[in-house]
Amino acid sequence: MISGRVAIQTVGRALKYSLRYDFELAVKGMTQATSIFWILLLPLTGKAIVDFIVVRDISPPSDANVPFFFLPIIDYMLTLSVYETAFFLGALFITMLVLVGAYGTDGAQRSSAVAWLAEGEDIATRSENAANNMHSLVSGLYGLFESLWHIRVAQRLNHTLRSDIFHRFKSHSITELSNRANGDVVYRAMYDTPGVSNIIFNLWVGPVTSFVNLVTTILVMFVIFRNEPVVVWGAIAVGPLNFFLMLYIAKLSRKYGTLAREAGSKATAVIEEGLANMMAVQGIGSTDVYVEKFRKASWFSFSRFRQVVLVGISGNFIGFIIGANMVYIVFYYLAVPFINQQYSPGDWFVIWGYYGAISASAGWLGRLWLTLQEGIAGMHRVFMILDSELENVDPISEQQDSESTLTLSQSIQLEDVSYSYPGGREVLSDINLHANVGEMIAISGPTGAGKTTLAYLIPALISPTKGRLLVDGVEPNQDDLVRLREQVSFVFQETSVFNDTITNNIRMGRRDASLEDVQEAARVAGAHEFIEDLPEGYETNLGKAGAKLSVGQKQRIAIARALVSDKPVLILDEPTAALDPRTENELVRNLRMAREGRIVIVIAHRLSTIRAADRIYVMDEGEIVESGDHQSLIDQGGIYARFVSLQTA
Amino acid sequence: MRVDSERMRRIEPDKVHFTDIVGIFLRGWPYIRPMAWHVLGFVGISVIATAWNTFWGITILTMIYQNVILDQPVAFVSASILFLDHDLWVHVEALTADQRFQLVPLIVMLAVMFSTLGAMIDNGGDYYRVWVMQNINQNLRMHLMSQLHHLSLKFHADSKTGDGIYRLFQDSAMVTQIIQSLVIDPFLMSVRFFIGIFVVMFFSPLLAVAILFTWVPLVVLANFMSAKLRHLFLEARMRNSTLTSTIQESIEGIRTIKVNGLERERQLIFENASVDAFVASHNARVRLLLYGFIAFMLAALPLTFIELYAAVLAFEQIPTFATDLLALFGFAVWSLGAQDAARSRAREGVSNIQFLFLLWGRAQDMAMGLNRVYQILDLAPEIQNRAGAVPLEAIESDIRFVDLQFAYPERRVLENVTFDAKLGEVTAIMGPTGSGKSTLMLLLLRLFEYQGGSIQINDQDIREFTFESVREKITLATQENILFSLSVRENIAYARQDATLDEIKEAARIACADEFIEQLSDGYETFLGERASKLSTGQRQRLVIARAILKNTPILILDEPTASLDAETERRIMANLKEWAKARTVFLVTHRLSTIRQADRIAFIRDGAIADYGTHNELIAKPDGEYQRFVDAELATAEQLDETA
Repeated sequence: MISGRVAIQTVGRALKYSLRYDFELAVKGMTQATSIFWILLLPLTGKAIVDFIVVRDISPPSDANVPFFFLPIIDYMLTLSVYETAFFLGALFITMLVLVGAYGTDGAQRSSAVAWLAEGEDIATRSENAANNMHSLVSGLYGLFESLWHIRVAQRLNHTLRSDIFHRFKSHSITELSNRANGDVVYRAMYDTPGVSNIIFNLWVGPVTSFVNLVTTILVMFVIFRNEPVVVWGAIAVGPLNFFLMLYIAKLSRKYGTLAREAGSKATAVIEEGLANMMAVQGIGSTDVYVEKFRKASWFSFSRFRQVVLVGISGNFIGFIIGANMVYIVFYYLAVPFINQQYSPGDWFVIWGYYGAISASAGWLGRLWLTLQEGIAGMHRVFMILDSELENVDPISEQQDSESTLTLSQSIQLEDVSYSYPGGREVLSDINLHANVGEMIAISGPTGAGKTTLAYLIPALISPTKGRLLVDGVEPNQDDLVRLREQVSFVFQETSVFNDTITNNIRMGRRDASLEDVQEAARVAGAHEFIEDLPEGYETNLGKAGAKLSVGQKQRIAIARALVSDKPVLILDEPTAALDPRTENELVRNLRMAREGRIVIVIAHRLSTIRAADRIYVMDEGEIVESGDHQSLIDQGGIYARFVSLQTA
Repeated sequence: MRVDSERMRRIEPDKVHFTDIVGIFLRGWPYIRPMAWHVLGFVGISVIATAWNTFWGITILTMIYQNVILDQPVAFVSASILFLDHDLWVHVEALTADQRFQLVPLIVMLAVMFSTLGAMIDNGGDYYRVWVMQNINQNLRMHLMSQLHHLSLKFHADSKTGDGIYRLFQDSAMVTQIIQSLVIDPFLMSVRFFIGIFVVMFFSPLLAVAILFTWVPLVVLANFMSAKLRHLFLEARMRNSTLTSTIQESIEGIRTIKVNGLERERQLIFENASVDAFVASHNARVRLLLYGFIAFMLAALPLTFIELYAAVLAFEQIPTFATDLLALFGFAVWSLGAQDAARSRAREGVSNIQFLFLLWGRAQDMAMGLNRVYQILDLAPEIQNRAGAVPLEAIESDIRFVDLQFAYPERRVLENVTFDAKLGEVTAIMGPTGSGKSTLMLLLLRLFEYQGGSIQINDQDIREFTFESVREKITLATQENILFSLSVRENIAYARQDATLDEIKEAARIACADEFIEQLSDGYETFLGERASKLSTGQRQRLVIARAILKNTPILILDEPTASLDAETERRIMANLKEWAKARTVFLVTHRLSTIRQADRIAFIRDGAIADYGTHNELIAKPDGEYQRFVDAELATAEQLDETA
């Protein structure tokens, strides 16, 4: 659970984030603060209607209770008849209407420029309004400008944060990433990041405006109604009362906000899991099981949101009780001078207009901490990711400015390497392996022996917990790791293709590859034939996760992608498992040819693939138990020999 | 395979009319209906709360203005509530200062009581409303989710996972707004509008008429801007949905992105999608803002006139229109109070009609959102039961494939497939990559519909049976080893949640998974996490097989079950499977010779037809057969390699 201290830190970090947009935010703060001027003017126009038309009571006491900037208008109106005054005020109102979207007799009669869209009863659907926040206290040309400015800042902030968290996700190590649900990533990037709007606008703009509002209104009040301090103090008291009475509510809000987001994230993960693996779910006839799982996750996230609502309602109720009762108290005291006719009836509107302005600002400041909690819950989830440990290399920020000149020209070597998962389980121990340019190396062994983990070490997808990785006999330093990864092409056992054309999928290996290069690579990978058979050929869009291809076909596209990249090291994890023998033979032959000038490392079970290698490493339980070429291993009569006899029996 | 997406009705925001919009919202009724009584419940509560708060608000404010600030006599109703002597308080010229002082604490007391009670009803009703709306949203989500599962795989090949998330969350949420924004609010707004007119009429019929016509320019405005708004809202929804998909896809393919050094590129794709989404949202919202601004102007102009006109009337102290009636409230002539009462009613009335049109603007967005949900719901599932289809009972015969034909829109896959899969046997389906082996199995499962020929069970075309009952009899273990983020035990029992631990262990034993499971830190209770990354591919494969075995259906299809297994494990699993397969029909789709030769019978598919069929020994004896050639190729690999090397 987020402690109060962490909550404050989170707010601080969000603020620091916003400093990138200090100018934009300052302009927004200024426009909002100055809009208060207009709002202050509104009660005065109300007074003018009452005093100059309805009651027509233009005796001196009333114009003494007017701030200086309104005096010229009062003076002018004193020269007008009732009807002229009506026309004059009409013109004034219409001007105000165009400028700030306000008219009539008191502060309540104004419009404010917001474009809030409908949303549902859970956090995810509320995030869109938060990310595209636009708001102005007033309307008219002034309010339109302010709102347009606001949405610009809000979107930039959210975009920056979204981009950062997305970048961060991609920079996680492979072991860290595989523990994270795809749906959780979606949820954090889409629905947690808008928390930043909440915090920043509430902290940057809100307090400034409220404070300015508070100070000016109080000053005006003391000038006009210096005999009624109770109005001012009563209105101010709303602030501290709200703050202290809601400290506990704020804590609850933080707690349930976080829980609701976790539940929403879980529901997203369930959807993602089901939709992305539709065939697996349907294949084992578990549609009902899955739909039930979704029903529960969805309803659970709704229930969690309801707890957030309940906390909010408690806050509202307490806030209302404070606000209402303070009004009654002030009324109780204020009735006296009015009954004693110390003020004109028109002053009643003015005084309550100012009271409303002060208590609204004070109350807003008092509830600020509570208001921030929702954003804190989301931002904390975002910062958790931004703070999480990165993998050893950060390709995006380092790719271009890397000083490293590492190029692999001779060999790769693993020297006494061990690797343990972050949890502590050792999966590789004392591995010694070397591969020279021009060689094809095979890694074989029973399932779960650690073959794939071993292969991850070579492009530094993981770093050894013990021992060294040597490139051309030298241990690469931190800066070299990005370069090292650029030297390696890796084809995974479970390959990914993207929702794009075949050409583009293959070109992911090397952006500037010509169409000929692409087709050549496809030919070597044994993919050209079936691609040509597709009506749109190389321009066929592969659909979601390549759903239109068989696993073997996807695998061949991935191999073509690796081949087109033309890198010094090519690693293939079970490249032939899903291939028929003819295709396999062809591929293995091509791979043997491809080893000229590079290192080819193949992880495989199939004898027909393995035996083609120059050197075979046989693994068992995280160790290399045998190594040598096909013939020498057969002669050794160990695990490998037994394995061969099984396959050929 | 773009059939479904073409079939998907395009939403054309320009061609939607008022009645279409209403139709879109009416379609939400089935999801609301189960909650109808609750809807009435919270509507009732909010009516009570509104009435209550309006009543005490008016009563108390009137007393403050008229009786404390001014010295007017107390109104009849208020005096009765406070048990004041009517002779002293109501039927007098004016109140004395003393009386006004006495009133102050009474008013405060009354206000505290009224407002606390009102706030309680209000807030309680709010929570109730949230619960009701969530239920309604849940109903729609569930319908959408089960529809997504009933659409064929063809549909899913072309749709994006992120889009599904967006529709389930964002688009479906609009159903919660139907009641509030399209029934209750418009109703209340219209009522307030007419109440406003009604009240003002007593003061001045002229002003009432002025209010009555305020909606005319608003209608013109709405008519002028609605189509564009819909367009922009739909665009915003589509862009945000694309962004969701971009994130999902990038994370799903993260390993490939990493090893190909594509981080920077994916980051650019993401940022572009994010900017596109923001730009689209921006455009939509700014348009809505403009619409709201103009609507406000159109409503404010007549109000300005009304205010000033009423003020002038009050100055002239002209008698109100219904003088005798209004005298009861102290408004026989236009006065400060009368002006205030008339103008607040007028303001209330006009503001409400303005809000109604603002709502209409927002409703365009809701309609576009809901339409995106209905778009999916409207897709007729491609696989449907024939009229008179009966459930498939026990399987008592071989499974016969007769002249089976199937083509994707792009290419023909199966032209003429004929063979029998014998009951109690393991049949291996083999053939070159992409020859349609997996497709054949999907046809048996009725995940696709074949175009010619038939698949027969119990001598009947399987299309004569309900597809649900056919699918119930079949388990498919897919080539991609999909595990869920659950424990080992829950993963194996995913499709049969009632399975006992013994049954689970037995299934694991057959799949040769028991040995490595026992070695895991928590055994069967080990939590696998996302993508089950703690396990090797071969271990995942065995769990998938165990899951399929536990399902215990008469037909079992294993797609490349041994691709990632070492030879030793493969041999043991195959032996176990053959033992288990007695009285069942098992299909193996595979390339591996060592797996194939352990099957009872082999069907070799090539060029869309069965090229070879029989037992291993039969086929191997057949000179120059396809199978023979395959075996030769497999065994010859090494020699060929030696030649080329």
